[in-house]
Amino acid sequence: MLAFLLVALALTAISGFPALIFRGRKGEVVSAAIAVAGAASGLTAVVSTLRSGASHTATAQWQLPNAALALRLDPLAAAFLVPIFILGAAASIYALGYWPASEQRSAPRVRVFLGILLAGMAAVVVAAHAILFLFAWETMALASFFLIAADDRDGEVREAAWIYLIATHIGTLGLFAMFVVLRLLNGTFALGPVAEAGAIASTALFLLAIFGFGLKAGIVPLHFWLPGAHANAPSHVSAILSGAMLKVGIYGLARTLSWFDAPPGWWGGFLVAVGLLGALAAMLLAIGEADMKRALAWSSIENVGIIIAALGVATFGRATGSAALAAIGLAAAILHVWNHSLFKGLLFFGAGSVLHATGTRRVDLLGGLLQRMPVTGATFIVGAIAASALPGANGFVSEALLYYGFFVVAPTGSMLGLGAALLALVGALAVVSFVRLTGTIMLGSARSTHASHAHEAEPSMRFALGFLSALVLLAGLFPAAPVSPLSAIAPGTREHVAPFLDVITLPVQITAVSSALLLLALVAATKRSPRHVTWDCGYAAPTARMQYSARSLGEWISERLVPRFFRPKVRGTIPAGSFPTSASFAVETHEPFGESIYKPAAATWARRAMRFRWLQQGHLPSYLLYIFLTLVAGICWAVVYPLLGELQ
Amino acid sequence: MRGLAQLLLVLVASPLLLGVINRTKAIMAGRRGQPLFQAYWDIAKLFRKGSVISLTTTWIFLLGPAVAIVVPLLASLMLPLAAPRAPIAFTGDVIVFVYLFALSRFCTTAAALDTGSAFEGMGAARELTFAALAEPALFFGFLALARVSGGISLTSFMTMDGSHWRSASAALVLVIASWFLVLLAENSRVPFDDPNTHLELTMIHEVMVLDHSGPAFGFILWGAAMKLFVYCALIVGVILPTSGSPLVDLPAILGGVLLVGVVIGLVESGMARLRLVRVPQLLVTASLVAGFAVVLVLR
Repeated sequence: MLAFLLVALALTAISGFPALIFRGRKGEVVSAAIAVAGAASGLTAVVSTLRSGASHTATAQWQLPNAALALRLDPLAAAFLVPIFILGAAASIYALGYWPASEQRSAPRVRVFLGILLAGMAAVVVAAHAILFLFAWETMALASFFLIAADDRDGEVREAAWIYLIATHIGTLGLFAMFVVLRLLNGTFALGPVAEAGAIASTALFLLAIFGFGLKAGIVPLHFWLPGAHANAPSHVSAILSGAMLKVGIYGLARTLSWFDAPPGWWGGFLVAVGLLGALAAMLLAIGEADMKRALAWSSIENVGIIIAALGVATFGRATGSAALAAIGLAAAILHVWNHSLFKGLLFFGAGSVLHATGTRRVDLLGGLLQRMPVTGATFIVGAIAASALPGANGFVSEALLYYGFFVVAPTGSMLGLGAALLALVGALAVVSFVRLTGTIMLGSARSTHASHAHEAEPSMRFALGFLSALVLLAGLFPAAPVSPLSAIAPGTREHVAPFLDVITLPVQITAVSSALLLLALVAATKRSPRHVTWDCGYAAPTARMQYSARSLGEWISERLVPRFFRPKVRGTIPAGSFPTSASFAVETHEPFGESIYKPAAATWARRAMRFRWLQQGHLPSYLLYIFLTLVAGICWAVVYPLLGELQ
Repeated sequence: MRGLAQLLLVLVASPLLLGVINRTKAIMAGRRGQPLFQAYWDIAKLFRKGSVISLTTTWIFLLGPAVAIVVPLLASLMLPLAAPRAPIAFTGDVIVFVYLFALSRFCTTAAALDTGSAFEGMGAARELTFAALAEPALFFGFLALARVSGGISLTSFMTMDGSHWRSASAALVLVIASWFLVLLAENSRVPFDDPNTHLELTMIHEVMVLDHSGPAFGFILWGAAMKLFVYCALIVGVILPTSGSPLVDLPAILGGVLLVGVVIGLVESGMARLRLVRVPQLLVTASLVAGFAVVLVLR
């Protein structure tokens, strides 16, 4: 099975180069075909691993000291390969229409880095050795930096890419520290169960993992780079970043947790609290967001929070010896990883089609697109229903499973059950956020010429949208379908998870089918009904600008009910006097954690660091000298340290 | 079979609840009031009428009414009305119950936004916001009842044998008080909303359906009546112990539901709609009250 995976790695890694070599349409089609072939090969390996539940390993010599080329394809790794390959294939098809070389200067470069990013992510997931893991991790981080910076003539894009680059390297530093701790405990850089760790060492490992992987996954408050990066990348890249790359961070955390036989109970509670509070914060910010892609990015942060909470439930279950809770938590986490990657990929593709058709990401300039873009609109609505975790689409299944976990623990009197109420608030806010997005982008009438001149997306884009929305609906209408792959990952799935997924199938299907039939009946019944303008209480000349805007829809929550910290920054001059002249209004992009917490702190440290500015000469030789001196110092330390011990 | 009978019961009985509320309000105001069965005539009339559809709208506009009638019907199947077990009952059905209503909310508010009307947008914004604030109250209540009844389904919450009033009466009172507020908010009753007013700016639910007409509007009215019935039955089911005999339980639960209707009528007669800014405060209060219930049973 590893052979299929290696073929997949190689194919995806090179998939972008034909587009670079043969400029024009032919190169792009070849490149998309290679990416799809690679994904098919990878998914073959994934399916067979999930079916057999077996773990495949391979090791080769590597000349680097202390390193080995060790790969391990087990069910947990396979689970996280699913979004990488599915979204990778879908994105490479979608890009044929969305980011073609005929329209975008950066198109060949984006294809090259996209292939490298996909291969890098897959390599992270199957790496079984810390050094190889870090190499793959850096490949992923750098490739995604170049992808975010695709539209590099735009200052906002450059800033977002820059912040991302800094953030990802801070995270990598955390991982360096984490692997050092692991090596101190296990005596090797090979990734595997922690032998015997004291409370302090294991807690240090846990917290470093949360920091390092959490920065990549976008756990609040380590998410500050995420909305900007995901909004400013080309939309098919945003889909990969949200749908697959965040999950690689979650994979790291899930893998680290799996190394401990009996994690302390507070880890579970901590993860649940961090996950759900982060999800709440993300939703409060999403409801005030004026940029549709940033709003989707906030929703990704929310969903990461939900997945982290599910991992927390699993950890709590393992700590307290509850097999049911451990199975439910892990199954909910993995299922939500899959589900989120499908519906968020779909939503970012949809946002990309809207952006392509209208040229704007500002929600308040859009409207009425469902009439002009029926396919994009309908698939976006499917994605919105899934992202609001409503029955009929896939988001509901995994979120219901997490609720179920909280309810299973509730009768025992554990405080963890309170998570259900917090999740309920988050879920209801997600409905607000997605009705707001759907309503202002797709429904009503066009608020600007951007929207009134919109056209439907290209066939390749519509294909990708249709493919993902079919998966979203199938996974939503057949909740029990993933039981067998899940049981390879989370032991106990068949006993504790499958019964619940079986019983929710019927109500979900009845709702979907009967609503759809009734809708068809109503559509048929009103086909010949007279059509007239919307009744606006007798107002003679209603205009599109009188509609409720995205800001007014979110006003109650984002400007009245939440603490000032979360409120959007609104600049404007109110018309005054008997003969008002000018008025203006603008909502600034807002990321309160970065602006109010990190930026001031970073500025202070930057001032202090000025004293060492003379080190930065900007000449390559001097930097090579620094690296050389550091290496020599390190070797000296390695030689001298044992001698010191002998002297004592 | 029993499921069908229960569906019929909810379909047929729910408009009567509206009649009871209106009659109570009329008596309190010293009026004769509309006939007890007026809601039936209204719905029947709407189904005979044609409709006018806005030019701005799409299929989403009709999805709202379709889901608005499917959801309460399906949700009612999760209630054990005078039976030891609901037609649809399983561990964790409360999650599906709440999320069905969330689906209905998504579709009705999207339908409102589909018209492009400022009034309907206003109603949608309020409906979404207030429902979001009410949601934790429901779940706190479920958590408390899960602890009290030892089960995690509506069937176990609504078929307790009465001993729960001895063991956890304080928590139950808190849950019921909180849920009654949620009932009023979710079903657009005073003090959260005024179903009678025709001044659109003060309305929430009514204003969202300004553009619906004919059968689609009939679906909405009927669905709203059934939703009210389901919420009333939920609260009554938690309050009343079950005897096990349908001959006793069925009249008890139906009588209880109508009694809740009378209480709603009394509330509507006795107070005015709250100022809009006070509504979120009351809903947060409801959530906290239910939160106290959880704390009481957790010890």
